Amino acid sequence: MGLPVPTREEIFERLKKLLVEEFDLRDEQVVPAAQLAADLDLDSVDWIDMAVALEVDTGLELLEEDLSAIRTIRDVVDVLHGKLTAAQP
Amino acid sequence: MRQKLAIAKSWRALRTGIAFSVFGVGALMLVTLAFPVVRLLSGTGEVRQQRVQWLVHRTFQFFAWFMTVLGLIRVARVGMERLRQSAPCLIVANHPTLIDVVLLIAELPQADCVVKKGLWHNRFLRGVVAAAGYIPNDDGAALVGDCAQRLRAGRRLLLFPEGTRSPRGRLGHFRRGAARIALESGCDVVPVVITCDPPTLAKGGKWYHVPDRPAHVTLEVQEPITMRRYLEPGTSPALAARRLTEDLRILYETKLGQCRPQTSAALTAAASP
Repeated sequence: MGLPVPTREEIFERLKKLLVEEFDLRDEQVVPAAQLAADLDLDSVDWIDMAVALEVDTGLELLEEDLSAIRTIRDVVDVLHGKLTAAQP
Repeated sequence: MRQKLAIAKSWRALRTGIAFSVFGVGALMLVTLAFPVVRLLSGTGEVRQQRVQWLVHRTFQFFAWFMTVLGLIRVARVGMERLRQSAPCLIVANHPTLIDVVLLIAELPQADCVVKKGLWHNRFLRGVVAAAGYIPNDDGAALVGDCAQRLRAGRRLLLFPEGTRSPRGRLGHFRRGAARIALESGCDVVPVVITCDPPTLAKGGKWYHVPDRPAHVTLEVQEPITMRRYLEPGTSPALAARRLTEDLRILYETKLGQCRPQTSAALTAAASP
């Protein structure tokens, strides 16, 4: 039996920690509705760095189609939660 | 008196139009006459590109002189010896006027330039930018990789962090591409601070909106900034790029008299040999 899938709240907290530590964002900036580009000023290269960091942290592979649908923090959490759920045996 | 000023301004507008025409014709002549000869005589793509860049450099030297003779600009150059170093480096500059890129390339016999993608659709300049191997500023990750590779190969790169001309009277937003490129290549950043007074050929202005007097353009080359302080172990590339970009912005704001209270100890330390 595999490890339980983290909840969306747990995924959000891990994502927030990553963004604050690695992208110099403030805690209060990282909210579910925050848009990655418009609100958090993450450019195309930042997205790649974020994806790599998330892959290292979660063990998941993030494909281009996963990233193309993402606009907000909530979208990132949903994608990660969906992939972690699908990865369960 | 008012009539005299109006006549003087019209005369300056005419000279500006002449300068634009000479620039356009010059670009077409380069593409149709000079570049085919270079293609014939040059071997590999890189050799051909560097010869084309040298031709562009010499052409822009002439054009800078021509604009001075026409009484449109006066140019002051400070710290140019910092551009004569042989080591590869990333040259960054603010972009207050259309002519600053001409004046900069006139100082650089070889420089790869990151330019607006739209120039590839400009009938006068598309041949020049393509033959010179300039880089369109449209693809983030690929752009960073390509530019860093060119720097590691020993070339020099010119880039405007604002990505476009500055808004009137202030700096535009600094994109992090310059910082990313410098950090990935490990090469020094050489900032050039440019002023243009009165504002001429600025963003949003028409070419015929000429000032009442020649524009005084100053190019001031700053001390190179080394990357070692930004590449400390444990610092993520994203964080390092943000810090370097912020430090560059503070440098420009300070030099342009748009000071902010905080200073950057890291920038001061990074500029030390």
